[in-house]
Amino acid sequence: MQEELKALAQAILEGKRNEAVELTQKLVDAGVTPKQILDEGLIAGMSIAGEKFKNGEYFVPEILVAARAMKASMEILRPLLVATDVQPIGTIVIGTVRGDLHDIGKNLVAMMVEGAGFKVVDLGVDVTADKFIAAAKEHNAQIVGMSALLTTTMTYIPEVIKAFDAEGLRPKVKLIVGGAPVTQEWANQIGADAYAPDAATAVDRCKELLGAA
Amino acid sequence: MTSRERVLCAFHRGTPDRVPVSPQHFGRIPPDSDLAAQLVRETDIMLYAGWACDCFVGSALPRDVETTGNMTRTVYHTPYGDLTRVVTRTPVTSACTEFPCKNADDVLKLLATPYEPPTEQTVQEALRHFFQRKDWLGDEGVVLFELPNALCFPAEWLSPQDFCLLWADAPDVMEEMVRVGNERLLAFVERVLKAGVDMFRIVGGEYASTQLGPVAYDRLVRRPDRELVALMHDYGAIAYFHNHGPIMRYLEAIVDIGVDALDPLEAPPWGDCDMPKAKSILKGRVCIVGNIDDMEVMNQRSTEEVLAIGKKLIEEAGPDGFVLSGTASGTYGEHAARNFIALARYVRSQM
Ligand code: B12
Repeated sequence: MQEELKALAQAILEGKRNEAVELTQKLVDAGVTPKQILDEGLIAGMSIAGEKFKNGEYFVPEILVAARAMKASMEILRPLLVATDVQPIGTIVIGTVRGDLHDIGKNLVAMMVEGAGFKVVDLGVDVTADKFIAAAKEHNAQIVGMSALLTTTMTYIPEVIKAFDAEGLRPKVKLIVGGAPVTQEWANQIGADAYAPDAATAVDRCKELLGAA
Repeated sequence: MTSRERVLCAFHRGTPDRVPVSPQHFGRIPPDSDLAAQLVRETDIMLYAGWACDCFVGSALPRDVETTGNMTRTVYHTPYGDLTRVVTRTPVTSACTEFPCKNADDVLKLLATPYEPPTEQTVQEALRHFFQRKDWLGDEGVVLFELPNALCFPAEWLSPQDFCLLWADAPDVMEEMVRVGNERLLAFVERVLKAGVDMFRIVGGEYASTQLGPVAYDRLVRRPDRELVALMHDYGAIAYFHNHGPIMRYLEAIVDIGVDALDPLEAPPWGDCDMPKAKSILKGRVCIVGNIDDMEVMNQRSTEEVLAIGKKLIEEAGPDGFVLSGTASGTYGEHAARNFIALARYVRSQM
């Protein structure tokens, strides 16, 4: 079945939805565990897609179709994963901060993190500190991701961090930040737990935050 | 040289009497304020005017517009069904929250709808706007007619996500939309060229460069925009190209399009412009306009710092074919305006 798992990863990588669904079903029928199909098929494919994006070989459409193929395969796997009590590796709440409507980058991060086995709660754009906090509590999230693309909106991120501190949610909830104007240096300065310059690295950082890297 | 001659000389890749310092439009400065008047007097300002009169869908497509609360809903009635656009306003900003086309089928509906070019009256209004502004500014700077390229047709009619999926799933439909868009655009541009418009600012390349990648850039930007620029040049007009985001891998394509000038060539973290390298590629071929970030640098840093950055830029990108400018955010404020004036005084002191 090793060949089929590789083929599934390749189908995800190329965004071939029907092929991915067929291969997933075939692997399930052959008795391969849903966890192995998820890890060595779906997640493996998404992870290569993320690397290709980072290297400038893939662009937004390629990531979108890979994520779509993964979602379709997940429809088959999800009930089986639940039945065998396989949990997502973690829960992340993500959003673009107040006043900011840029969401192309944030959506890519959400897709890649989901593709790595996380449960993702996407709050959309123009998200206030209150909303981030409420969602983190409601979904028992380990990680909250904030995106900002503007000089004028990135200054809201430290306010959200303070609000999480004031609520006593840290260090239990880890905060990861990103968006074009955000840098590692600035992330350190404002006391964020992590920063990533792109969606593939965001996956690595989130896993590190869980201690699951 | 007058400001206008100075900027034109740079657009033609020449070496003006001094490097032009050109804020792009008035940003958040009220155009009737003293500060705006000072910008006009002291810098070599570039203003935008005119609009493309909905030339992609034209005047025959019936529509109903309704505003309730913070939402404006436009319903376009095509013979094959309705397409709906919703624009939502928040206290800080406004954005399109529902796009009329959701998939390739909607695009085909739109393209199959009978087309009539913009009416003479709407075109005259846009022209009046352009020429009034041009007369008002005189020799104090240049006025550019604002123009979407053909890629703006899909980019403005599909959400960013559906736009990307259209390219992934139905590239032929995307190419057809751009081809039809370009045909309509060229007809519109010829009308305003005949009326005497002499300078255009073409926007839209970034939809391909930041989202779709180089293959799309070649097919959906380089090819159609070459035709557009050739038409402008046939009438002796200036073709100025605006393209946000990482730009280095697209410079050769932009040279090939034949544009006269390019903005904003953002440096990291917003872009990837390595100015000495960009200059070596563009020298003698495309005038560089940029690239001091409006919001982060011009609007926040001290004048000493901005002057130091400006001097370095002039060394790297000037003195020929270079206009010292911001990053076209449309948002620069009072502090940035004063920094532009300080830069203009500095270049003047160096003559
Ligand atoms: C597309 C775009 C828009 C679109 C957004 C559409 C959408 N649905 O997102 C529209 C037209 C709406 C827009 C509007 C505006 N924009 Co804009 N926009 C851009 C543009 C061209 C591309 C951004 C983009 O999508 N990049 C592609 C994605 C894939 O990259 P990314 O977002 O950086 O994301 C990656 C990483 O940053 C990271 N990442 C992102 N988020 C997160 C989150 C986490 C947790 C992590 C770990 C990582 C991470 O991973 C992503 C994937 O690898 C940039 C130009 C540029 N140079 O960036 C300007 C830019 C960001 N915009 C700018 C401006 C000024 C505006 C406006 C104010 C313009 C105006 N006058 O109205 C408005 C503001 C609206 C608002 N309130 O938000 C400026 C900001 C300048 C500054 N110093 O702040 C830029 C830089 C352009 C410029 N130079 O003027 N914009």
